[in-house]
Amino acid sequence: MAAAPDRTIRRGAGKRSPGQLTHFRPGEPTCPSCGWVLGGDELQTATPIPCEQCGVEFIFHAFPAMIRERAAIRTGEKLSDTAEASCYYHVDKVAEVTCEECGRFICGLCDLELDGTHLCPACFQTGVTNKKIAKVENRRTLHDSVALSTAVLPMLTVYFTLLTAPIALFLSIRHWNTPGSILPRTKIRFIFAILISLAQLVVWGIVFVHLFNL
Amino acid sequence: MKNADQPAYRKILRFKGTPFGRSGVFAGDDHLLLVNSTGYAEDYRRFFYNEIEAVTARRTHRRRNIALVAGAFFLLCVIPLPWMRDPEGIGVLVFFAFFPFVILIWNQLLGPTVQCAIRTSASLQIIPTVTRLRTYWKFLERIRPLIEGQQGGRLEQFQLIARFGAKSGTTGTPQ
Repeated sequence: MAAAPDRTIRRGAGKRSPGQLTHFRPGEPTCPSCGWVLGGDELQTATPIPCEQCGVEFIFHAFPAMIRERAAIRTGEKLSDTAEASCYYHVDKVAEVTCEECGRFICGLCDLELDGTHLCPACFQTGVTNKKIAKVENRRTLHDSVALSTAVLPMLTVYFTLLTAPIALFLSIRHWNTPGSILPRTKIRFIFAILISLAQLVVWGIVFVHLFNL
Repeated sequence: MKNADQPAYRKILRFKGTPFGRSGVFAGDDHLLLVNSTGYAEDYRRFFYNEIEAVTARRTHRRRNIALVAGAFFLLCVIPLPWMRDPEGIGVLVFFAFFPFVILIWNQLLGPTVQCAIRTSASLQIIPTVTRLRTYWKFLERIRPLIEGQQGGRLEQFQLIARFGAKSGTTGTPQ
């Protein structure tokens, strides 16, 4: 007789990013609320159904990756012949490819493939740090919004614009070519920031000329 | 270092306000992009189509809570009306009762609230933009062809029953 499946709740541990839930078990369908392991007949339903453990209604729409066999993790082949090239980072493993950035020999364990480009861990890390690999970038500052806010918000107090208008102008020019959002976005905020800050400077200029003339 | 070309994205779910800013979902060539924006910076989370195992939703009590709060404000404004003699006072109360009433009706029309999440082999990530059941269906309808196109077809329930078993005792035979 086959053993009954273990349906106990097991919550994951470790660091997680905001909005990331941990109560799921890799390779098994679980209730999105409590982590209770579900049967195949509780998936792909057209309407929400209640979890038999917590009672919360849920929908679980699975895709083929749910039942796909997981690929074996590449660990790199052991070096058997001293005539073979070895990995730069693991001297006991066979070099499979060269890093397309620095040219170092790397094994299957160190090979990081990104859109067909093979990189070693060091070059990958450099690319991430320098924000040269757009596909792994996970944060960008919207300099155009910062410049526009610097130009517009101080107008509430009027006097601060003497200080913030040059700053907004500087930010707009300094970051004109800095990559902004990954999503399509025009430079209209930069243009408005420049126009508004220039207008503020012109007004301050008129005020000062008027004061000195008096 | 090679600079990868800027990927092109198209909108799946428009930006929507969340407690910590705005959030939207966009589709790239081989991945979904969840964007959380504060207005001055954007955080990105990518879900590659061939790694997405499931899209889940669970019912929440948000709709009921909104109805309770809006209903309480509405009643607070409506209950004193029979005892009011001053026409200006009646006008003020009706004016203030109007907004919770609209929220109450709108909340009911939008339907049940859910918390949606995308599940991969390594994580279960909440999608803050999807808060209603009908938005969930819309979201699923839009991303399903993209995911199934990469993963090679649709997964039927009998395949899942064959793989994970059935709680109701049915076998994994095709229906």
